[in-house]
Amino acid sequence: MLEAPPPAPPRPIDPPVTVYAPAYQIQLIALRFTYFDQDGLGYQSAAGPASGPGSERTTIAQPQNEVVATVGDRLTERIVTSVDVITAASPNHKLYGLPVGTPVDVISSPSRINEAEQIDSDTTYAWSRTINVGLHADYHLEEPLESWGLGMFATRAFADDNTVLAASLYQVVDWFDSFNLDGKRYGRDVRTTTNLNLGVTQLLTPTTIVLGSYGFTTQGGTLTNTWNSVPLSDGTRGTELVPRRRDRHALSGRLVQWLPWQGALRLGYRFYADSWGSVAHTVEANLSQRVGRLTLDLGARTHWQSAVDFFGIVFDPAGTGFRTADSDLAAFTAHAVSAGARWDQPIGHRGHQIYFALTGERYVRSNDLHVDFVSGAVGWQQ
Amino acid sequence: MSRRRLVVATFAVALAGCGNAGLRAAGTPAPGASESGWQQIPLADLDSRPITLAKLLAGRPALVNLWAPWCERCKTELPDLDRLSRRLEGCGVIVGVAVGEDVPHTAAFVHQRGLVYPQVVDEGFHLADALRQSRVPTTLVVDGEGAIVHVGSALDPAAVGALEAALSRADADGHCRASRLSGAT
Amino acid sequence: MKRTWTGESPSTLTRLLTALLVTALLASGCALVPQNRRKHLADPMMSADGDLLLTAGRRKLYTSRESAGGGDAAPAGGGCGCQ
Repeated sequence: MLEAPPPAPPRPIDPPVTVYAPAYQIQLIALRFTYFDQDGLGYQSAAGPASGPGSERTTIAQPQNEVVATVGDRLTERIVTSVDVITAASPNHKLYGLPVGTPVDVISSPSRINEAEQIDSDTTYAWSRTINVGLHADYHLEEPLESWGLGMFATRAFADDNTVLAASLYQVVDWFDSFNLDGKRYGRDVRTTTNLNLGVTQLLTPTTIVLGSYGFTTQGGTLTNTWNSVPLSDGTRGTELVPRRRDRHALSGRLVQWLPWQGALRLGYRFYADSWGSVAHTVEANLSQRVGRLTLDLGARTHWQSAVDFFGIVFDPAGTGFRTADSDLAAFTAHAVSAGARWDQPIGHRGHQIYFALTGERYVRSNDLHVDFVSGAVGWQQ
Repeated sequence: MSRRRLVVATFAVALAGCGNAGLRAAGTPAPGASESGWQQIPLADLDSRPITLAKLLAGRPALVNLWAPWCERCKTELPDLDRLSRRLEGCGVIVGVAVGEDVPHTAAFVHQRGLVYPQVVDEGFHLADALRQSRVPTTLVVDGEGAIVHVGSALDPAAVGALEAALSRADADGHCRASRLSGAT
Repeated sequence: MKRTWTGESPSTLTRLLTALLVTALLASGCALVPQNRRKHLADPMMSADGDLLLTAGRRKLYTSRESAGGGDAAPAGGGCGCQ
């Protein structure tokens, strides 16, 4: 009886096909420039009469750069660098009889111009098909402050990625020079910020996503810019005094809905409360519409907050309690409207594209402050 | 209810609500997948003409890739599939099945990427649902007798190895010669 | 005002957590979205955060000009002289 022939060896497909992810690949490079123009009045500003309110006029030019790269098929690295060029970052005031306009600066130059640089790095590692872990690090430098931040985060997907839980923990340390209202430096101060975030993302339908998030932030140390001042009833100005601890809670919910005419609607609500007595509600809505390669955006935001417990616009010179006249901590309503457009242009035959984007926004507070900004970006992505 | 219990209960419900009943893990061939029924499901080619995988495969070993233009992982492996299709000797074939996408968009995408291997469109998810494969990318290797011998997600060495083994068996069994005689290559 | 069985008034945070629990209960009957049906969910317009650089710039504006912050996976303060 003839024996069956031995099985033929597998026929190799020669040359071998690359089936692994590239060792290193740039996924995104983006440049953005934003210009903020702020004007208004606030009682914490000494750039005006001693009884206030003083000018809060400032401009900020903010170039940013972002690079996202992948290493293999598990590691993603994102680096962002940004610079803020700020005018009137510190008070330019006429305290102690000096002529108006004399740059009596509590620090050397930021009443004229101040530069702040920041670098952020996020590294994400795909531990498994359902678990991602990551590290965040950032460094911020400006006159007279340095800040270091370090954090870790993780996500866990369930039910074929229909549900994703996220958790993150961040620690920030700010280290800065302290000045009194005469402009004398009296040493260094520190404040710490510890933040815990928990979030859940749930796919509801093939066109609907809902997200929920809770964030807890606790801050300790010197929680004021030491040159902030408050109007006193005797016509002079006194030092702002705030508690050395602040616990802050934020609970938010968002819904993202695909619209059948190539559009998307994003709605969001946030509730905020802190140990200084401030409570806030924020509602946001954003509508996107694609027209060919052009994507148009319209946004609206309303924010209502109550004042912190120790806010006022005039204080007793003999008083010893906490006191602030910071307009950011007052009770107010803020509205913002924005509009933007983005053009996506495919290039080549490997799926690369470049994009151009332009956005403008007007932010108006009911306590006499408004900020306009315009932002443009150009980017390349895989 | 205390606040702590409320938080724990909230997350427990969010976790427990969506189980993975009904989902099939990648790598498990669907029941009945060895039958040729799934190859008769009507699909469409890039000119919107009706076609079936039975006609496209014509008894040849094949690597069938379920993909979608919006799927980032799918787009990463398209050049590899294209290279694989150019290097096949004999009667093997690579077929791409665009799942849940319309013909004009798929045709424009394929043309823009310069892909040369055969592409069909499963706009209504009929093939994907019949095979009970709900992920993209999904890589199937079919032998010369129409049986699915490998199921995986992305293109990997195991899929290429399964295709090599299927080609060798087809050569040894004479399937490829018969297919060549019938004009399928 | 309705009181809990301990006789205390439910705090605002407790009310919100209860609302979140109810939402989670409703969502627990959610239909799974198979991975190959997520074409629209994968669209860049469906990103909850949008352009990350623009979002970071907006976040800095809002957190430095308001008492509120957080709830978006970022600290509510710290990190610069503006906050």
